[in-house]
Amino acid sequence: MESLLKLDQIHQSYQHQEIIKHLTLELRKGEIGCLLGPSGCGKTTVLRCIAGFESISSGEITINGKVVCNADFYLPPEHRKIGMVFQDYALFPHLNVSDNIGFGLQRRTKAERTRRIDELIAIVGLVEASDRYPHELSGGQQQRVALARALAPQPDLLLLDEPFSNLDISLRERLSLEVRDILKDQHTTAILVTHDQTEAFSVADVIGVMYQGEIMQWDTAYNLYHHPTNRFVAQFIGQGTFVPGRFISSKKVQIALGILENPYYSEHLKQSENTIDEAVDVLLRPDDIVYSETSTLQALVINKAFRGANILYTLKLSDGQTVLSLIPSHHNHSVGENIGIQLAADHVVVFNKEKT
Amino acid sequence: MNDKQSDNLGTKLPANHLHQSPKLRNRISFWRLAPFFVASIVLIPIIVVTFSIFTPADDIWHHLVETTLPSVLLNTFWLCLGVVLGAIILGTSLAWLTAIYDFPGRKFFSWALLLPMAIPAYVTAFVVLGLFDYTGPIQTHFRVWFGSEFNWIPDFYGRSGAILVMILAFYPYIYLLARNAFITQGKRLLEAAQSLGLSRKQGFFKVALPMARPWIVGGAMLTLMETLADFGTVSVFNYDTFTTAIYKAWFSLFSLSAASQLASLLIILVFVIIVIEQQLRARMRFAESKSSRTTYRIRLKGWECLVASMYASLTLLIAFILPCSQLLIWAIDEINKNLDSRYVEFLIHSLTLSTIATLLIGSVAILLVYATRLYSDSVTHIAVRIATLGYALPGAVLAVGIFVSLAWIDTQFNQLILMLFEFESGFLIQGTIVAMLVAYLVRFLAVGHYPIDSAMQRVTRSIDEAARGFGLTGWSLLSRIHLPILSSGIFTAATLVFVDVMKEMPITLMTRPFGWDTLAIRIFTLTSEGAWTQAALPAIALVLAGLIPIILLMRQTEQ
Repeated sequence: MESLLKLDQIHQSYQHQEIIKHLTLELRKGEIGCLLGPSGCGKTTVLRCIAGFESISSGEITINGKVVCNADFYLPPEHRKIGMVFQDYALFPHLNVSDNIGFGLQRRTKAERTRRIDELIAIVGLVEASDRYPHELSGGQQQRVALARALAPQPDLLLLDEPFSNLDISLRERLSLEVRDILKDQHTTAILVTHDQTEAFSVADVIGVMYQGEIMQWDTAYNLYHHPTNRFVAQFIGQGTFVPGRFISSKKVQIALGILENPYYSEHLKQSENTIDEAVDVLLRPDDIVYSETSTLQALVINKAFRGANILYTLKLSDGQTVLSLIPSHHNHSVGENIGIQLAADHVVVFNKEKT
Repeated sequence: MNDKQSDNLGTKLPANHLHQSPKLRNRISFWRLAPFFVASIVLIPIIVVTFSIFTPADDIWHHLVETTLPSVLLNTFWLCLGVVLGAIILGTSLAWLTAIYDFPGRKFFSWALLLPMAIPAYVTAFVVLGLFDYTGPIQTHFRVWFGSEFNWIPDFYGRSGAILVMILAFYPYIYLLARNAFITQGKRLLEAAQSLGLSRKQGFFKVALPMARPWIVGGAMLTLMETLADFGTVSVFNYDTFTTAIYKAWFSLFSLSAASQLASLLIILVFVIIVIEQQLRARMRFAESKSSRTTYRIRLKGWECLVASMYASLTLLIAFILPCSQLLIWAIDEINKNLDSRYVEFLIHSLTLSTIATLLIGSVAILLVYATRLYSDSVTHIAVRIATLGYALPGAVLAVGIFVSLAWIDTQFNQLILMLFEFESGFLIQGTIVAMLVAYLVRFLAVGHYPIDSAMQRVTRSIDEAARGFGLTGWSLLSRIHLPILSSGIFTAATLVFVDVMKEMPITLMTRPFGWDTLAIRIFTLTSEGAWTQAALPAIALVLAGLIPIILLMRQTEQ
């Protein structure tokens, strides 16, 4: 499929500080992308550059085959055919729901406008609230109005800036799935910015993990979790610990807990280059270690967090390493107890030793 | 020991502890009644004036209705329309410019554009008249350039002059409110409009302006009240409105009842405006946006910069720099000729009056604030609302209302004395500064109440409770916790009241004891004789005093 959004080596610096560093990404038509990263990583700035609220110092942004900005050209936001859902929704407080949604439909005929407004009100499920004003709506309803308003003019690209961060957690999960359904149903190409990975996982097809103005990995949620290409992504996505290991053959790594086969190699550690006896770090996810009553391998419980169906244990091995383990919650042990564990890793990722 | 103490507090002093201690209750009844007493001081003159519309018409009233009233009504209408429209356009455009755009001097202009508030409108008025006078600098120069035949005199007497001067004096109200609206509504909503395909210009008219409407109209209402209340400016321009008509009915036709009837018409007008204003204030709360205020502004380029800077500097030049320079030139000229001991006397009168009024108003304001803190029921709140209503009443109306009320009390008291002791006591209140002070209290209580009340909001109940936990009660609680927190509010209140009383003209003019001339009265006397240059001397003192609250205000907005 053709690409709808293309960022080519975009760069932005402000007062000698690099906000975005030669960032490149591509989004295909109908795809939902996401920029995920800790606060201050530059993800919102990227979004604002795409929208046209900020300019770039070099590189090029293309939307639907049309260059919208580069070092010496800049198309104002109103001509970019984008829609935007703001973090605080930015609903117009002096207009009711219908008028907010119809705000971007100035050039349509009246009949067309009403039809489109009604259609969107139905899609976001606000039929009975159409006459209300923003201050009379709940947070979730405001969010829906903001989405409907941005979708109304059928933009080429929809931009969502932390759209769920002002909602409480239960609503956040439900609404993020709902938003994905609406976007997919309307065949909307969209890009979302968030710091919350569950939100990114439930909405996006493809996710870019950002750190200090760079995309560390641009991939599917599955790959980010299971095949992180660098330490930052490995630590940022999901939970896990690094334990030291050593190649005993080209396909086997020995760690304190046992032998791991067919490891996945991170970016910097090419398969061909490794040598037997080379020291590496292995990423262990909490589900890589399971409970085993009969195991001779014993570990000391130093911390526990109850998660409902599971308990996340922090365990200390005999050699002093700490690992995480997710164990069904009927195995209820207290801090200070020794429990038997066993390695159950299908695929793990190895990293070269951190040079410190 | 600490434990024991907090235990005691826990059992003996629950939330409504004030009602439980019998010893406190007697003292409390004073706080309970205080707001109602103050409210009645405000209400009595209002009622007296309003009901005077029903007094039977005398010859003078008939004469007024037939001769001056139609022109007074028409004049008031044109004045209000012109000033409000002009101030809206000037104030809103300047607010938009300094809130959203960045251009050379923006930071300077954003506070400097408030400076015209420091000059009382009647001062600008006589400066403008003096400038365009036949012997004034402008006409003299024109005669030098175009020959002595040249006789172009802009019609600054009357309507256009009064409108122009009041626009320049009152636009800062709208500027301040609209600017606040534009800044708090944030750029986020404009961005939203842009993302929906609107250009920046369309965004201003479709989003920013409609959203700021409650603030702009609120500022317009303030301007309208000030315009209706104005006495000094219209008398300088000899343009008859309600306030000057009231003055003339009382002091030229010597009919207090006719003055009172005119005042009743004006009061009805004012009440309509108050009702509209209150409703707008309720709507303002909803229009407030949660958007974070964005600090970065749109940079203007090239000729846009030039236009923006020119517009702002031209306004500042005409509204502040020019009048001030002219005042200074005249004053320096006068200082050797006419600065005599009488001038010192006016100054002392002004300062004494302002000081006494400030002390009185400050104490009453603190009294009200504590009363509402002890009793936060709706009746008390209504009483406080009424007590602070006087800011909307034109000084001329108040002067009449209070004079009539006090005269009645004087007469009753006189008769009582005569009945009991068979001796004429003479008037006790009339002709003393008591009448003036009561009128100031009614007019400026809101000015003093608001800053202290806002400061009190910071003394939360939990602060009190925490202090009690450390054993602080009574005076020590007041001096160690409340006063330090309230002090800045009290200071602001005192400054505002002090300066307002100094600038006040109609109340002072109509209720002062015989011969009690202040700076403002001196200006009135001198300008009615056309002695502009001499009036500059007292005017300078008023402008300097007027600068103090502006500086305070600017400090506050910076924080």
